Amino acid sequence: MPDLPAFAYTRPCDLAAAMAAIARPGACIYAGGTDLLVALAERRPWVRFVRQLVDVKDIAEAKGLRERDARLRIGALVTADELASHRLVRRHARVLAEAAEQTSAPALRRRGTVGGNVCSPHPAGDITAALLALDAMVEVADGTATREIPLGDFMQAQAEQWPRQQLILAVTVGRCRRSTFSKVGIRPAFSRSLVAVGVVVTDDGLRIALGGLRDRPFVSAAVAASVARTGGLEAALAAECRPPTDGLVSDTYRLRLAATLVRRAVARVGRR
Amino acid sequence: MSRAATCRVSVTVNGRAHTVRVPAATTLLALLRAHLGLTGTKDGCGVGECGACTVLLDGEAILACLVLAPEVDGCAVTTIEHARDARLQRLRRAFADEAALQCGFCTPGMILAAARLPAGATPATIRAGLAGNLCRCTGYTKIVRAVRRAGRRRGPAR
Repeated sequence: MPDLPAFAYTRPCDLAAAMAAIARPGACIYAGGTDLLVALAERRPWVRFVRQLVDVKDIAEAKGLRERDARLRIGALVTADELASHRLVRRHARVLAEAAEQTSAPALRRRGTVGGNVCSPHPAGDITAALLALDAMVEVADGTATREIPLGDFMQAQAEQWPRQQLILAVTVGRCRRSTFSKVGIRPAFSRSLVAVGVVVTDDGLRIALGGLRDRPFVSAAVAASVARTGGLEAALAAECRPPTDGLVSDTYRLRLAATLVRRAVARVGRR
Repeated sequence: MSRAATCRVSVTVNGRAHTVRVPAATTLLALLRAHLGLTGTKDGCGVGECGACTVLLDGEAILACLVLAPEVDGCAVTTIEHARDARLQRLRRAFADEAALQCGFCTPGMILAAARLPAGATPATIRAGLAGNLCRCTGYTKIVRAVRRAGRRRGPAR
Protein backbone atom coordinates (compact mmCIF):
# COMPACT_ATOMS: atom_id res chain seq x y z
CA MET A 1 0.00 0.00 0.00
CA PRO A 2 1.40 3.42 -0.88
CA ASP A 3 1.50 5.49 2.30
CA LEU A 4 -0.07 8.90 2.51
CA PRO A 5 1.95 12.10 2.73
CA ALA A 6 1.64 13.79 6.12
CA PHE A 7 -1.34 16.09 6.60
CA ALA A 8 -3.51 17.38 9.40
CA TYR A 9 -7.23 16.65 9.65
CA THR A 10 -10.10 18.78 10.83
CA ARG A 11 -13.85 18.20 10.80
CA PRO A 12 -15.77 21.46 11.15
CA CYS A 13 -19.28 21.11 12.52
CA ASP A 14 -20.95 23.89 10.56
CA LEU A 15 -20.66 25.92 7.36
CA ALA A 16 -19.05 29.00 8.93
CA ALA A 17 -16.32 26.89 10.52
CA ALA A 18 -15.80 25.00 7.25
CA MET A 19 -15.43 28.22 5.25
CA ALA A 20 -12.86 29.51 7.76
CA ALA A 21 -10.96 26.21 7.61
CA ILE A 22 -10.81 26.00 3.80
CA ALA A 23 -9.53 29.59 3.58
CA ARG A 24 -6.28 28.59 5.30
CA PRO A 25 -3.25 27.94 3.10
CA GLY A 26 -2.76 24.25 2.33
CA ALA A 27 -6.37 23.38 3.17
CA CYS A 28 -8.20 20.92 0.93
CA ILE A 29 -11.86 19.92 1.05
CA TYR A 30 -12.38 16.26 1.89
CA ALA A 31 -15.69 14.41 1.45
CA GLY A 32 -15.95 10.86 0.09
CA GLY A 33 -12.20 10.63 -0.46
CA THR A 34 -12.44 8.13 -3.30
CA ASP A 35 -10.48 10.45 -5.62
CA LEU A 36 -8.51 12.58 -3.19
CA LEU A 37 -6.95 9.80 -1.11
CA VAL A 38 -5.79 8.03 -4.27
CA ALA A 39 -4.31 11.27 -5.60
CA LEU A 40 -2.52 11.83 -2.29
CA ALA A 41 -1.25 8.25 -2.12
CA GLU A 42 0.06 8.51 -5.67
CA ARG A 43 1.61 11.97 -5.08
CA ARG A 44 -0.23 13.55 -8.01
CA PRO A 45 0.94 17.10 -8.79
CA TRP A 46 -2.45 18.73 -8.15
CA VAL A 47 -2.43 17.72 -4.49
CA ARG A 48 1.09 18.87 -3.70
CA PHE A 49 -0.29 21.93 -1.92
CA VAL A 50 -2.29 19.87 0.59
CA ARG A 51 -1.30 20.29 4.25
CA GLN A 52 -4.67 19.84 5.90
CA LEU A 53 -7.83 17.98 4.98
CA VAL A 54 -11.09 19.70 5.89
CA ASP A 55 -13.69 16.96 6.26
CA VAL A 56 -17.02 18.54 5.27
CA LYS A 57 -19.23 15.52 6.06
CA ASP A 58 -20.96 17.31 8.97
CA ILE A 59 -22.12 20.36 6.98
CA ALA A 60 -25.91 20.32 7.23
CA GLU A 61 -26.36 22.51 4.11
CA ALA A 62 -24.63 19.88 1.97
CA LYS A 63 -26.76 16.95 3.13
CA GLY A 64 -29.94 15.36 1.91
CA LEU A 65 -32.08 15.30 -1.19
CA ARG A 66 -35.41 17.10 -1.46
CA GLU A 67 -37.81 18.89 -3.78
CA ARG A 68 -37.62 22.69 -3.87
CA ASP A 69 -39.60 24.91 -6.23
CA ALA A 70 -40.32 22.06 -8.68
CA ARG A 71 -36.61 21.20 -8.75
CA LEU A 72 -34.56 18.58 -6.94
CA ARG A 73 -31.92 19.89 -4.58
CA ILE A 74 -29.25 17.23 -4.24
CA GLY A 75 -26.83 17.87 -1.36
CA ALA A 76 -23.18 17.70 -2.33
CA LEU A 77 -22.66 14.93 0.24
CA VAL A 78 -25.25 12.62 -1.34
CA THR A 79 -23.44 9.46 -2.44
CA ALA A 80 -23.68 7.70 -5.78
CA ASP A 81 -25.42 4.83 -3.99
CA GLU A 82 -28.08 7.17 -2.58
CA LEU A 83 -28.59 8.79 -5.99
CA ALA A 84 -29.08 5.40 -7.65
CA SER A 85 -31.81 4.30 -5.25
CA HIS A 86 -33.55 7.54 -4.28
CA ARG A 87 -37.24 7.61 -5.17
CA LEU A 88 -37.24 11.25 -6.33
CA VAL A 89 -34.17 10.76 -8.54
CA ARG A 90 -35.58 7.61 -10.11
CA ARG A 91 -38.87 9.33 -10.83
CA HIS A 92 -37.77 12.82 -11.89
CA ALA A 93 -34.15 12.46 -13.05
CA ARG A 94 -33.77 8.89 -14.18
CA VAL A 95 -30.66 9.66 -16.26
CA LEU A 96 -28.90 10.50 -13.00
CA ALA A 97 -30.03 7.36 -11.17
CA GLU A 98 -28.92 5.22 -14.13
CA ALA A 99 -25.53 6.96 -14.29
CA ALA A 100 -25.01 6.56 -10.54
CA GLU A 101 -25.88 2.87 -10.46
CA GLN A 102 -23.42 2.13 -13.28
CA THR A 103 -20.51 4.13 -11.97
CA SER A 104 -17.49 2.50 -10.33
CA ALA A 105 -18.07 -0.37 -7.86
CA PRO A 106 -20.42 -0.91 -4.89
CA ALA A 107 -18.06 0.01 -2.03
CA LEU A 108 -16.93 3.17 -3.83
CA ARG A 109 -20.50 4.16 -4.66
CA ARG A 110 -21.23 4.18 -0.92
CA ARG A 111 -18.52 6.82 -0.40
CA GLY A 112 -18.17 8.86 -3.59
CA THR A 113 -20.28 12.03 -3.49
CA VAL A 114 -22.07 14.26 -5.99
CA GLY A 115 -19.91 17.21 -4.92
CA GLY A 116 -16.72 15.28 -5.53
CA ASN A 117 -17.91 14.18 -8.96
CA VAL A 118 -18.67 17.75 -9.93
CA CYS A 119 -15.46 19.32 -8.64
CA SER A 120 -13.04 16.74 -10.00
CA PRO A 121 -14.81 15.26 -13.01
CA HIS A 122 -13.06 12.66 -15.10
CA PRO A 123 -13.19 13.09 -18.87
CA ALA A 124 -15.94 10.49 -18.96
CA GLY A 125 -17.48 11.35 -15.56
CA ASP A 126 -20.76 9.46 -15.63
CA ILE A 127 -22.57 11.46 -12.95
CA THR A 128 -21.31 14.77 -14.33
CA ALA A 129 -22.50 13.85 -17.83
CA ALA A 130 -25.95 13.01 -16.45
CA LEU A 131 -26.07 16.30 -14.54
CA LEU A 132 -25.09 18.23 -17.68
CA ALA A 133 -27.88 16.53 -19.61
CA LEU A 134 -30.25 17.72 -16.87
CA ASP A 135 -28.92 21.29 -17.17
CA ALA A 136 -27.93 21.25 -13.49
CA MET A 137 -27.06 24.31 -11.43
CA VAL A 138 -24.31 24.20 -8.81
CA GLU A 139 -24.96 25.88 -5.45
CA VAL A 140 -21.66 27.19 -4.12
CA ALA A 141 -20.73 28.83 -0.82
CA ASP A 142 -18.12 31.47 -1.50
CA GLY A 143 -16.97 33.53 1.45
CA THR A 144 -20.18 34.42 3.26
CA ALA A 145 -22.42 34.35 0.17
CA THR A 146 -24.11 31.49 -1.65
CA ARG A 147 -24.63 31.57 -5.40
CA GLU A 148 -25.90 29.31 -8.16
CA ILE A 149 -23.91 28.69 -11.33
CA PRO A 150 -24.77 26.56 -14.38
CA LEU A 151 -22.73 23.34 -14.16
CA GLY A 152 -21.08 23.93 -17.55
CA ASP A 153 -19.79 27.35 -16.44
CA PHE A 154 -18.68 25.95 -13.12
CA MET A 155 -16.65 23.21 -14.86
CA GLN A 156 -15.10 25.74 -17.22
CA ALA A 157 -13.99 27.89 -14.25
CA GLN A 158 -12.66 24.80 -12.47
CA ALA A 159 -10.60 23.84 -15.50
CA GLU A 160 -9.07 27.32 -15.77
CA GLN A 161 -8.28 27.81 -12.13
CA TRP A 162 -9.25 25.67 -9.22
CA PRO A 163 -10.97 28.01 -6.75
CA ARG A 164 -10.04 26.32 -3.51
CA GLN A 165 -11.93 28.67 -1.23
CA GLN A 166 -15.41 27.77 -2.31
CA LEU A 167 -17.51 24.85 -1.21
CA ILE A 168 -20.13 23.08 -3.30
CA LEU A 169 -23.28 22.75 -1.21
CA ALA A 170 -25.63 21.14 -3.71
CA VAL A 171 -26.64 20.66 -7.30
CA THR A 172 -30.18 21.38 -8.41
CA VAL A 173 -31.93 19.88 -11.41
CA GLY A 174 -35.34 20.38 -12.97
CA ARG A 175 -37.72 17.47 -13.05
CA CYS A 176 -37.89 15.63 -16.35
CA ARG A 177 -40.33 12.97 -17.40
CA ARG A 178 -38.15 11.07 -19.84
CA SER A 179 -34.40 10.56 -19.68
CA THR A 180 -31.81 7.81 -19.86
CA PHE A 181 -28.11 7.09 -19.55
CA SER A 182 -25.95 4.76 -21.60
CA LYS A 183 -22.29 3.87 -21.28
CA VAL A 184 -19.68 1.34 -22.30
CA GLY A 185 -16.50 0.57 -20.40
CA ILE A 186 -14.02 -2.26 -20.69
CA ARG A 187 -16.22 -4.13 -18.22
CA PRO A 188 -19.40 -3.17 -16.39
CA ALA A 189 -17.95 -2.49 -12.94
CA PHE A 190 -14.94 -0.57 -11.86
CA SER A 191 -13.78 0.68 -15.18
CA ARG A 192 -13.94 4.19 -16.52
CA SER A 193 -16.43 4.74 -19.34
CA LEU A 194 -14.97 4.74 -22.83
CA VAL A 195 -18.03 6.74 -23.84
CA ALA A 196 -20.98 7.89 -21.71
CA VAL A 197 -24.21 9.41 -23.03
CA GLY A 198 -26.99 11.17 -21.12
CA VAL A 199 -30.23 12.01 -22.93
CA VAL A 200 -33.06 14.15 -21.55
CA VAL A 201 -36.32 14.98 -23.34
CA THR A 202 -37.09 18.67 -22.73
CA ASP A 203 -39.95 20.86 -23.92
CA ASP A 204 -37.65 22.08 -26.71
CA GLY A 205 -36.42 18.68 -27.84
CA LEU A 206 -33.49 16.48 -26.85
CA ARG A 207 -30.63 17.55 -24.61
CA ILE A 208 -27.62 15.27 -25.00
CA ALA A 209 -24.46 15.20 -22.86
CA LEU A 210 -21.41 13.20 -23.91
CA GLY A 211 -18.53 11.86 -21.81
CA GLY A 212 -15.18 10.40 -22.87
CA LEU A 213 -15.04 12.38 -26.11
CA ARG A 214 -13.30 15.57 -24.93
CA ASP A 215 -11.21 16.48 -21.91
CA ARG A 216 -14.43 16.68 -19.90
CA PRO A 217 -18.13 15.87 -20.39
CA PHE A 218 -20.06 18.40 -22.47
CA VAL A 219 -23.51 19.14 -23.90
CA SER A 220 -23.87 19.16 -27.67
CA ALA A 221 -26.83 20.89 -29.31
CA ALA A 222 -25.44 19.91 -32.73
CA VAL A 223 -25.50 16.21 -31.83
CA ALA A 224 -29.04 16.51 -30.43
CA ALA A 225 -30.22 18.27 -33.60
CA SER A 226 -28.57 15.70 -35.87
CA VAL A 227 -30.24 12.60 -34.46
CA ALA A 228 -33.24 12.75 -36.79
CA ARG A 229 -31.18 13.29 -39.99
CA THR A 230 -29.86 10.25 -41.89
CA GLY A 231 -26.09 10.15 -41.55
CA GLY A 232 -26.22 13.40 -39.62
CA LEU A 233 -25.23 11.92 -36.26
CA GLU A 234 -21.84 10.61 -37.40
CA ALA A 235 -20.99 13.95 -39.00
CA ALA A 236 -22.09 15.90 -35.92
CA LEU A 237 -20.09 13.66 -33.58
CA ALA A 238 -16.98 13.94 -35.75
CA ALA A 239 -17.29 17.73 -35.73
CA GLU A 240 -18.07 18.07 -32.02
CA CYS A 241 -15.73 15.52 -30.42
CA ARG A 242 -12.00 15.21 -29.98
CA PRO A 243 -11.82 11.63 -28.73
CA PRO A 244 -8.50 10.33 -27.46
CA THR A 245 -6.70 7.27 -28.73
CA ASP A 246 -5.30 5.56 -25.66
CA GLY A 247 -4.13 2.16 -24.48
CA LEU A 248 -7.72 0.94 -24.58
CA VAL A 249 -9.31 1.97 -27.89
CA SER A 250 -8.80 4.31 -30.84
CA ASP A 251 -10.48 7.66 -31.51
CA THR A 252 -12.41 6.09 -34.43
CA TYR A 253 -13.73 3.35 -32.16
CA ARG A 254 -14.89 5.91 -29.61
CA LEU A 255 -16.77 7.90 -32.29
CA ARG A 256 -18.56 4.82 -33.60
CA LEU A 257 -19.35 3.73 -30.06
CA ALA A 258 -20.75 7.20 -29.35
CA ALA A 259 -23.08 7.01 -32.38
CA THR A 260 -24.36 3.61 -31.27
CA LEU A 261 -24.91 4.71 -27.68
CA VAL A 262 -26.69 7.93 -28.70
CA ARG A 263 -29.03 5.99 -31.04
CA ARG A 264 -29.80 3.41 -28.36
CA ALA A 265 -30.40 6.04 -25.69
CA VAL A 266 -32.66 8.10 -27.94
CA ALA A 267 -34.65 4.99 -28.88
CA ARG A 268 -34.98 4.09 -25.18
CA VAL A 269 -36.30 7.52 -24.10
CA GLY A 270 -38.74 7.32 -27.02
CA ARG A 271 -40.26 4.21 -25.47
CA ARG A 272 -40.64 5.77 -22.00
CA MET B 1 2.23 22.98 9.03
CA SER B 2 1.72 19.89 11.09
CA ARG B 3 -0.93 21.19 13.49
CA ALA B 4 -3.37 18.50 14.64
CA ALA B 5 -1.23 16.02 12.76
CA THR B 6 -2.13 13.26 15.18
CA CYS B 7 -5.63 12.29 16.26
CA ARG B 8 -7.13 10.29 19.08
CA VAL B 9 -9.46 7.68 17.65
CA SER B 10 -11.96 5.66 19.68
CA VAL B 11 -13.37 2.86 17.60
CA THR B 12 -15.19 -0.39 18.28
CA VAL B 13 -13.74 -3.21 16.23
CA ASN B 14 -15.54 -6.55 16.22
CA GLY B 15 -17.34 -5.58 19.41
CA ARG B 16 -14.22 -4.49 21.29
CA ALA B 17 -13.49 -0.84 22.12
CA HIS B 18 -10.08 0.60 21.28
CA THR B 19 -8.61 4.06 21.73
CA VAL B 20 -5.41 4.89 19.84
CA ARG B 21 -3.46 8.00 18.89
CA VAL B 22 -2.40 7.90 15.25
CA PRO B 23 -1.13 10.36 12.61
CA ALA B 24 -4.07 12.01 10.81
CA ALA B 25 -2.72 10.65 7.54
CA THR B 26 -3.50 7.05 8.56
CA THR B 27 -6.00 4.96 6.64
CA LEU B 28 -8.50 2.72 8.40
CA LEU B 29 -6.59 -0.14 6.77
CA ALA B 30 -3.32 0.89 8.43
CA LEU B 31 -5.15 1.46 11.72
CA LEU B 32 -6.48 -2.10 11.64
CA ARG B 33 -3.32 -3.82 10.46
CA ALA B 34 -0.44 -1.84 11.94
CA HIS B 35 -1.96 -0.30 15.06
CA LEU B 36 -4.47 -2.97 16.16
CA GLY B 37 -2.65 -6.00 14.74
CA LEU B 38 -5.73 -7.20 12.84
CA THR B 39 -4.05 -8.43 9.67
CA GLY B 40 -7.02 -10.43 8.38
CA THR B 41 -8.05 -7.39 6.34
CA LYS B 42 -5.73 -7.52 3.35
CA ASP B 43 -3.62 -4.74 1.92
CA GLY B 44 -3.93 -5.16 -1.84
CA CYS B 45 -3.71 -2.16 -4.15
CA GLY B 46 -4.21 0.59 -1.57
CA VAL B 47 -6.02 2.76 -4.12
CA GLY B 48 -9.55 1.36 -4.20
CA GLU B 49 -9.22 -0.96 -7.15
CA CYS B 50 -9.15 -4.50 -5.73
CA GLY B 51 -11.60 -4.80 -2.81
CA ALA B 52 -9.21 -6.86 -0.65
CA CYS B 53 -9.55 -4.41 2.26
CA THR B 54 -13.38 -4.41 2.37
CA VAL B 55 -14.72 -4.09 5.93
CA LEU B 56 -18.05 -3.05 7.45
CA LEU B 57 -18.12 0.52 8.77
CA ASP B 58 -21.27 1.04 10.84
CA GLY B 59 -22.72 -1.91 8.92
CA GLU B 60 -21.83 -0.74 5.40
CA ALA B 61 -19.25 -2.53 3.23
CA ILE B 62 -16.55 0.00 2.35
CA LEU B 63 -12.86 -0.02 1.41
CA ALA B 64 -10.58 0.48 4.42
CA CYS B 65 -7.80 1.90 2.20
CA LEU B 66 -10.00 4.88 1.26
CA VAL B 67 -11.21 5.88 4.72
CA LEU B 68 -9.12 7.90 7.17
CA ALA B 69 -8.62 6.73 10.76
CA PRO B 70 -9.86 10.04 12.25
CA GLU B 71 -13.14 9.57 10.37
CA VAL B 72 -13.99 6.36 12.22
CA ASP B 73 -13.84 7.96 15.67
CA GLY B 74 -17.03 6.79 17.40
CA CYS B 75 -17.82 4.18 14.74
CA ALA B 76 -18.13 0.40 14.72
CA VAL B 77 -15.98 -1.66 12.35
CA THR B 78 -16.42 -5.35 11.51
CA THR B 79 -13.55 -7.32 10.01
CA ILE B 80 -13.03 -10.94 8.99
CA GLU B 81 -11.69 -11.64 12.52
CA HIS B 82 -15.16 -11.14 14.09
CA ALA B 83 -15.66 -14.56 15.68
CA ARG B 84 -19.26 -14.23 16.91
CA ASP B 85 -20.94 -12.75 13.83
CA ALA B 86 -23.29 -15.51 12.61
CA ARG B 87 -23.37 -14.27 9.00
CA LEU B 88 -19.55 -14.23 8.80
CA GLN B 89 -19.43 -17.69 10.38
CA ARG B 90 -21.76 -19.05 7.69
CA LEU B 91 -19.81 -17.36 4.90
CA ARG B 92 -16.43 -18.61 6.16
CA ARG B 93 -17.82 -22.15 6.41
CA ALA B 94 -19.41 -21.96 2.93
CA PHE B 95 -16.20 -20.64 1.33
CA ALA B 96 -14.32 -23.61 2.81
CA ASP B 97 -17.01 -26.13 1.84
CA GLU B 98 -17.18 -24.86 -1.75
CA ALA B 99 -13.37 -24.54 -2.04
CA ALA B 100 -14.03 -20.94 -3.01
CA LEU B 101 -10.49 -19.83 -2.36
CA GLN B 102 -7.05 -20.73 -3.55
CA CYS B 103 -4.45 -18.26 -2.29
CA GLY B 104 -7.04 -16.70 0.03
CA PHE B 105 -5.88 -13.11 -0.34
CA CYS B 106 -9.21 -11.82 -1.68
CA THR B 107 -11.32 -13.96 0.67
CA PRO B 108 -11.70 -11.55 3.65
CA GLY B 109 -12.81 -8.78 1.28
CA MET B 110 -15.16 -11.10 -0.61
CA ILE B 111 -16.75 -12.30 2.63
CA LEU B 112 -17.24 -8.80 4.05
CA ALA B 113 -18.67 -7.55 0.73
CA ALA B 114 -21.01 -10.57 0.68
CA ALA B 115 -22.03 -10.08 4.31
CA ARG B 116 -24.44 -7.26 3.47
CA LEU B 117 -26.13 -8.98 0.52
CA PRO B 118 -29.69 -10.22 1.08
CA ALA B 119 -29.81 -13.85 2.21
CA GLY B 120 -31.73 -15.07 -0.85
CA ALA B 121 -29.66 -13.10 -3.37
CA THR B 122 -29.63 -14.42 -6.94
CA PRO B 123 -26.30 -15.13 -8.68
CA ALA B 124 -26.76 -11.88 -10.64
CA THR B 125 -27.23 -9.87 -7.44
CA ILE B 126 -24.22 -11.58 -5.86
CA ARG B 127 -22.07 -10.82 -8.89
CA ALA B 128 -23.16 -7.19 -8.85
CA GLY B 129 -22.47 -6.97 -5.12
CA LEU B 130 -18.98 -8.45 -5.52
CA ALA B 131 -18.15 -6.50 -8.68
CA GLY B 132 -15.53 -4.46 -6.83
CA ASN B 133 -13.66 -7.47 -5.45
CA LEU B 134 -10.98 -9.02 -7.62
CA CYS B 135 -9.89 -12.66 -7.39
CA ARG B 136 -6.94 -13.82 -9.46
CA CYS B 137 -7.22 -17.55 -8.67
CA THR B 138 -10.64 -19.17 -8.67
CA GLY B 139 -12.58 -17.44 -11.42
CA TYR B 140 -15.54 -16.38 -9.24
CA THR B 141 -17.91 -19.30 -9.96
CA LYS B 142 -17.13 -21.04 -6.68
CA ILE B 143 -17.24 -17.74 -4.82
CA VAL B 144 -20.77 -17.04 -6.06
CA ARG B 145 -21.73 -20.61 -5.17
CA ALA B 146 -20.34 -20.18 -1.65
CA VAL B 147 -22.26 -16.95 -1.08
CA ARG B 148 -25.48 -18.64 -2.23
CA ARG B 149 -24.81 -21.58 0.05
CA ALA B 150 -24.23 -19.29 3.03
CA GLY B 151 -27.48 -17.50 2.24
CA ARG B 152 -29.42 -20.75 2.23
CA ARG B 153 -28.11 -21.87 5.59
CA ARG B 154 -30.25 -21.00 8.56
CA GLY B 155 -28.98 -20.52 12.09
CA PRO B 156 -25.37 -20.58 13.18
CA ALA B 157 -22.71 -22.59 11.38
CA ARG B 158 -21.75 -26.05 12.47
